[in-house]
Amino acid sequence: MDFIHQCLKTYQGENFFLLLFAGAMLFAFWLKDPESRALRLLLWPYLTVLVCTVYNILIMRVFIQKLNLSGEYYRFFWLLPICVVIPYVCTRIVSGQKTRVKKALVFLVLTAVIVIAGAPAWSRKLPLTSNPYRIPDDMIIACDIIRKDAGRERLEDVGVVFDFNLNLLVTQYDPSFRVIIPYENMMTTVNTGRTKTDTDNIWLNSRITLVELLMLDRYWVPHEDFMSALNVTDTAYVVYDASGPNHDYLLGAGLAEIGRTDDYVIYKYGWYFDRLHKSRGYLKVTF
Amino acid sequence: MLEILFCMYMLLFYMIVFFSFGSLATVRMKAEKFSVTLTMMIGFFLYYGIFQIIAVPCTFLKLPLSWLAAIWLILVAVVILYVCGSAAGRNIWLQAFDGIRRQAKRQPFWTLVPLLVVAAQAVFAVMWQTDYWDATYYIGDVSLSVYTNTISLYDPLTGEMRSAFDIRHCFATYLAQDAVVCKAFGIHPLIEMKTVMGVVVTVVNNLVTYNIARLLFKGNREHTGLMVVFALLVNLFTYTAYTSSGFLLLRSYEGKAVLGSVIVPAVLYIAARLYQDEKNKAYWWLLLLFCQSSCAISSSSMTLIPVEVGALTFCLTLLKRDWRPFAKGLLCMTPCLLILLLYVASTLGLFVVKI
Repeated sequence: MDFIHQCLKTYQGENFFLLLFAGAMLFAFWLKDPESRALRLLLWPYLTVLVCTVYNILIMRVFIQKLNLSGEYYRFFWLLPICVVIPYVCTRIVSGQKTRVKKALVFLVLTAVIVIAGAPAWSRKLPLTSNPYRIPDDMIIACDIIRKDAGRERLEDVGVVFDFNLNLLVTQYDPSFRVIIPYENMMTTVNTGRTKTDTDNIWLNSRITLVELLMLDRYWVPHEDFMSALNVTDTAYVVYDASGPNHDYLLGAGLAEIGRTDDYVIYKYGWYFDRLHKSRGYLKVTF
Repeated sequence: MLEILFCMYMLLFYMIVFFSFGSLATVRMKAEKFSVTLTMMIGFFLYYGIFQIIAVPCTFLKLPLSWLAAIWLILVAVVILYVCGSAAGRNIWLQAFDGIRRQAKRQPFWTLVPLLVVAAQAVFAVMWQTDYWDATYYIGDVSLSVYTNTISLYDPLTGEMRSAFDIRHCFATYLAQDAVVCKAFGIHPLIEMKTVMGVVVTVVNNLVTYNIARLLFKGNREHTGLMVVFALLVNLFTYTAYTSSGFLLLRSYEGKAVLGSVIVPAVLYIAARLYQDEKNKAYWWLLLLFCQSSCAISSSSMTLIPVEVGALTFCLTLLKRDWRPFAKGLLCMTPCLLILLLYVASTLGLFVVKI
């Protein structure tokens, strides 16, 4: 019972639209006219079958454990025809009124009931989009700054360590960027809170160092270790949270600010380019 | 502004394509009066169903995305030309649109209401800046496919080429379709998946609701329109991160949004039609089509849709006191069960396709 309660709570949050759905189903059952016959005759046995099968915790517990479905179980609630039954019953109630005024009043009352029973989609407090990609402007501006600075260099050759939120978006926006911290690597480090691994895997350990220092601000290493991590990962640019505490530290490690957005500062790791040009046999000329 | 215009062109493209694909089926349904909304709804499923049949072999053959895009565009063009060229189809279309025009004249308000509902829901679906973590996989997959000119060969979570095909997502070619459209029209994956598909899924969701309402209220335009309005309210106010409405309004780039808000109610619609007339073979074919294309849209369909189809056809069997509806239901869910079997085999290491 606790599992079902937990599932229902997860599914509908603090709202009670499932109760509204149950009420609508009872109302549909109470209707005796031929119009609602199809709904009544089909939906009640359908729900009974669901309750006996996928909503039956005695049966489903085995499946959930065997197939590791606990994270996906909520999808079975999509089988409840909430968006059919509630609108149908509401329409029946409104259309059952004799005068237009009564219809309008009942419509408003039912709308209020739906509004109170649920949570609006805008309760997530998402920001309004300001670009056609529907991502933060910082992502677009940061990519433009790096692209401009990289000049003729191919983006595949210049690795970038983005801040956590931008790192989630960069492959979607421009997959030509070489992302130093892969998603899985980043999420594992964030979720486990690990600061080092048991292995001597330099590839992994250097990335963990970068995640800890540039995304989570919860780890500090000497400059040499940080620069070593930048060198091992072939990092050319760092996009760091403007409100983060490590700006002086980054400047001290030889990074130079090349631009900023509202929320991020973009740093260039010049030593990477020196190394890259040297490997190509370029001569460095300073005026 | 240019992007908005381009999105509108893309929406028009999808609607014409769904209407053409749907016409292939509905023109042949003699017992059913031709309906523009039903045609578009069926067209949506037929489009994804046929796309899966072509895209899956291309994926396993590791063909470039541009090849799949070319093959698919040629097929779409052939279907549109064929449907436009057929005199029977043209006549039925003209009659259907004439019918809509006459009804719009008779009841302009209730004809306009569903359109306003779609417009309101579509604006709502595309006005937010959405950056759910799941998008890293779904949109990242399309971006990488377009960039590398491959079909889902790269893992968006690592950026590296996969060592073996991801069987769970391989058959759900919803993402491959987006990649094809991006490649063919030069549209950015973020715009295609978040904005264009946000509107397309909204339209199809309302087409399904409209058809269910029309069925329940026997074509009464006022009641149908009112039910569509209430459905909009329910969608807007049943938001949590887990409800189908939440996916429909804010995460339309995932096949799950289509599964919860389009496929599940569409299967219910077909079940209601079967309850009215279980002898009509066309509805059984449609149920088979919906089951097959559901797997093309979301991998979660392989478990959810068999449960729904099984439960509904079991009810039909009880109500009609005839074992055949349930047996036919089992046959219809075969595509889902086959893919589920392959997926389970892949998790056990029995079905692994190396890249």
